Amino acid sequence: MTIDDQLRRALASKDPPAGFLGRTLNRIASAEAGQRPPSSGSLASRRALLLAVAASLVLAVGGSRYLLHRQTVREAERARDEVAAALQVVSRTLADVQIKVEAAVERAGANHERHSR
Amino acid sequence: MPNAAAALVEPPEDLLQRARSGEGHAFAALVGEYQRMVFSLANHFVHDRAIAEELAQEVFLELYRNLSHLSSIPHLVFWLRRVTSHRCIDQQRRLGRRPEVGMRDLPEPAVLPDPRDPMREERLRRLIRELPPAARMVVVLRYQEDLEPAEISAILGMRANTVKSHLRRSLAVLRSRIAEEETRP
Repeated sequence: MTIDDQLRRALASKDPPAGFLGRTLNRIASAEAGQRPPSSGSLASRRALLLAVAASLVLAVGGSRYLLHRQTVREAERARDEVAAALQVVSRTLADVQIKVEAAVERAGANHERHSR
Repeated sequence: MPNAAAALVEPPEDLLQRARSGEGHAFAALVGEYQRMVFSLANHFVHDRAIAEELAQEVFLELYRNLSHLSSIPHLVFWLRRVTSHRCIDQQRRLGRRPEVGMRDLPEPAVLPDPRDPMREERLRRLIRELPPAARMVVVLRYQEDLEPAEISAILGMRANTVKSHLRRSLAVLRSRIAEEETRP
């Protein structure tokens, strides 16, 4: 084994200690909250609040489980959006069909009247 | 190296976009994605997990404050590597100089003895810790992140020839020190 290979093995990246993600988010949320007055309704304050919510969730359920939970939520949201989009397409198609059917019925009615005279 | 759990969440470009628009969950997922890389860079440099965690947290705090300036994932990764590297080197300078391995006048042995020694990786990490700060970060970026000298040069703001010189001399030092330790009675 060359020294390059040995260095790659010795310097392979490793996971941080358990709870790192939660502690990091908590620290950022605290630092941001400490920088701004509590009554401020600015975008930055809102962002800090949202981050604090994420931090508390991560601390409550653990980093990896939290991220997997977020994945599930995002996939569910994506599936819901896809179903809604599909329903809109179906609805538009049905409306088009209905218009065509009504036009055909009207034409048929008009033809029938012409012939009966 | 991306975190496996976070990598499943959604494409990193989408995460960055949503984090930039203020979504805390997206920022949390971004940290989850890159925590391993940032923590490991710091840990291999300082060889102390508590100090490495402190440094990595500072990097992510700075990331949070600079998200609006980062336009893409490659830009974000470059930024994280650069800020982590500079913070590590600055921290080392604040702590003052520690005993370091001399970079000159070291003979280079022809071969490395006993390459499968299970203690070798830890010994290597300890010896890397004794390299001067700039040379140490060059070695960490080269072998942890598998970067080319030109990429390291851009991250550290150093000429490519200087990077190559650090690498060459650091490898010579490491080979010598390993050989020296292994021949010691």
